[in-house]
Amino acid sequence: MFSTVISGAVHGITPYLMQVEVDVSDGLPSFNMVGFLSGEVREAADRVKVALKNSGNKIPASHITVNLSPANIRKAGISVDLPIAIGILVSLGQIEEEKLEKTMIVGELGLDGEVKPVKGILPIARQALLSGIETIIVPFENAKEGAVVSKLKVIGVKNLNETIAYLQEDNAHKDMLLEPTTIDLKRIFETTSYEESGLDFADINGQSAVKRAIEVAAAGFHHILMIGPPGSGKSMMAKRIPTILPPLSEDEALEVSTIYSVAGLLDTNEPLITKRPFLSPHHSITETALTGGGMVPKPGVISRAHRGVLFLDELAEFRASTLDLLRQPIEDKSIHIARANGTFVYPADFQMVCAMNACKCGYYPDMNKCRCTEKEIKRYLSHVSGPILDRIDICIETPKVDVADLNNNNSLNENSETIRNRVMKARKIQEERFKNTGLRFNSDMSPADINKYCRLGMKEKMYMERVFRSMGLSARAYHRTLRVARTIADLEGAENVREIHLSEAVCYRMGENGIYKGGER
Amino acid sequence: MNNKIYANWFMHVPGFGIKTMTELLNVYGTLENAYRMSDKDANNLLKKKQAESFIYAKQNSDPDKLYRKLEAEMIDIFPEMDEEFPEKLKKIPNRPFAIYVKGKMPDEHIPSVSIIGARMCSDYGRYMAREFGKELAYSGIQIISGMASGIDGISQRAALSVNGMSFGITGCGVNVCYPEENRDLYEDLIDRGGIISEYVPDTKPKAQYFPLRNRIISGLSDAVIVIEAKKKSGTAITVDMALEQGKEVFALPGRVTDRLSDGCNGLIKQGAYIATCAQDIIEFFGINDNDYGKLSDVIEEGNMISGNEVEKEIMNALNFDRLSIADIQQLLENRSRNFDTKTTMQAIVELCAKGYLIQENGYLRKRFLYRK
Repeated sequence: MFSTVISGAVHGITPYLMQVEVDVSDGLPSFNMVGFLSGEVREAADRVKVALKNSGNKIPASHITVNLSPANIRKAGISVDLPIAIGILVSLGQIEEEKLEKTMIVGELGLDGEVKPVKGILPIARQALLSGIETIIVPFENAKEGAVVSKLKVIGVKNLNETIAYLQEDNAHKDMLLEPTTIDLKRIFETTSYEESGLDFADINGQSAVKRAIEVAAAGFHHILMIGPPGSGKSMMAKRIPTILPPLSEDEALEVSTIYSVAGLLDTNEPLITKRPFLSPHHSITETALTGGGMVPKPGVISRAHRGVLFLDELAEFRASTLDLLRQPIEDKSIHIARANGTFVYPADFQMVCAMNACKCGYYPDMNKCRCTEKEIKRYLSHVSGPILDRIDICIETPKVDVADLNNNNSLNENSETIRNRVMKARKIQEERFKNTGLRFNSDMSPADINKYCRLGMKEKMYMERVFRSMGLSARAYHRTLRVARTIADLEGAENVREIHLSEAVCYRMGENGIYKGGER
Repeated sequence: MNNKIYANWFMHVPGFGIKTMTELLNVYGTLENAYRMSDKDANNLLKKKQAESFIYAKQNSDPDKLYRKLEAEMIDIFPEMDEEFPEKLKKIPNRPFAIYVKGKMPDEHIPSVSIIGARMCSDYGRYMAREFGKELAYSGIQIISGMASGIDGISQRAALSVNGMSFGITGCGVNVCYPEENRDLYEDLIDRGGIISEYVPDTKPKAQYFPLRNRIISGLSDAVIVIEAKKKSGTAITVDMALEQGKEVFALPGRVTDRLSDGCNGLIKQGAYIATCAQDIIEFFGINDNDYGKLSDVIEEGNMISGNEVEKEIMNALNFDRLSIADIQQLLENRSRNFDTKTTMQAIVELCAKGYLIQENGYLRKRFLYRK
């Protein structure tokens, strides 16, 4: 007898439907699996045989052939145990084939027949819905994740026998046996708030100039670099950046959750990621951990920071070769990883926030504490490669914190919500401006776009010329300054970029003479 | 002449210092005779290692040839038995056996002062070094220092800038410029002053050479002025040497909280002379006819600039430390002048454009301005 069960898998983060074809016929007893399989998929044969036996299902000695189609995609992961087991039972006539109509089955089996959770349920379920599937049977732990796709009937199963019982029941009584899992998406979004995370910009006393720079960065999606002595609150502020970004939209949340689903990082009880991710890799991170990799590439840190914040603390301590890998993802907002069995594309649209000290000992420019020589300071600043700095629009020096400031009551400080509202307003303006242009934020503007959207008046042009000449700023800095000035104007709701916007933007390029020229004076 | 030729040769032989040379001279009378001693005598008279290198050097190098090379490079050598050897150096303990000079030697009849201090100095120190170097050199005093980065180089540059005389004592050979960033100073000193070293001309700098050359710096000077120094530093070594040699020590008082002034304040506590202006030193040497005012008058205060209220406020709030924009904003807030960040930034850019503020490594500081 021959049977077909529909299952699904992911290739990178791209989900696809898989036909699990099982044939049981007379002949020498054997269990063959074909269909471009990787090692762990091949092992399914043993797991399925033993799981069936231990669940009390007798399989007669026969010639069993399993084919996973389409055969042109290399199958990896272990999500096909359960469909194979069901396929065998259908072929043996223990389950009627009609019961499997428009039903997808995904799951790993233990030897005792237990169904174990698998990765990538969210994208698989979304693909299933698009392909006209109505019911999806998934491991119990993954049920809520699958239920995010609300139009799908999601059945969470704990073991093989439960699955068999469910499939043998007639359609009317099925759902009494195993209730479909549902979640209230609307409520999840409504109840998400950053306030409960305990992080708020109101926690930070003083530092008004740095806070302002961060606000500008968030509003225009500019990458930002903070330079300052240890203990000046760089990490503290970076951690709070997600709280002033607009909340994730439903589409964005699905995108982010998909990546986490594939990486197997979704929480069983909170199947949807509704907060912007904040990732802070240690500077010893390897290249593959950053970009993603492996034989079958897993999403790296930059992909997990998709739609969120990638915080690179101690930027100068990162290996130059590691940082240089960020160049392409920053441009393309995604990372392409090529392997023998295909090219994998993971989204990587993150806001880069960097922090570093101004010298090796960290205390420069405090000459009472700094023990570095002029040469060492220059060498330290030149550690960060130019191409990465080219992509950072805003650079701000953080001052050391006065103890008196720490004791101040922080009830007067602006909270994240106030700042977030301003940021969202500025983003709205950008959205309107860039409608149908393919651009999203001011930071995406090319020099040609800048000429179009940040036209300067005669007075402003002369001002820029005077300032740039007297301060020795480079031509490259010119466009970056304009981009940032555009965002500052947007924050104010101003139509045209004026002198006061330009001067503030210039201030965010002060570092130019230090870090951007390798510390040259 | 013979003395110079053979002194140069002996300087090239490793392990031959003032002690050995004095002993050899006692035995042989002249350097030439010492050079011509037999290998057997050398083995008897000298330590084993010294004898080995002596014999090796004798086989492999020729005094005349070495000296011709010296002449070709316009370098002079002064062995300690020569009359030209500076009288001041003859008096110091552990004097060098000979010194190499590229350029001139300091004039022994004119007062010499060494201006020394930290390599990593503050802007205040930089300014003071410049002022002292300039004013002292202008009044005819010779400035002696170590040609290092920081205070040393700055004071020497300042001295040369008013056509004064300055001499650099290096911890490497006179043919080597160290640090490389002071190449301009090195060349100017050769032209208009001198480079002096006790090491053979092509010696590369080594950490252990620098503390040793400090005794020559203080030895050649009549007084030592410490501009800015941490508690433990090369400057402290020079001061110790100066005191041992009986030279006068001046120190600039600094703020008590300034780690870079700890050395100076410590010296004052121990009884060093206090110098608050170049005039103090000029008077010490009894040089009159000087119409230079006190330094404190020269520094212009922020209130003299043209600019709007915010700009003036910033100039008043700033001192000569390097600060970030956020620091400046904080400073204004501490003075209860709450301009919003945008306004402050606009004023800062304006001040930079006008040249009142300058940027260093991404940080800002006030520029020193002169009334004259």
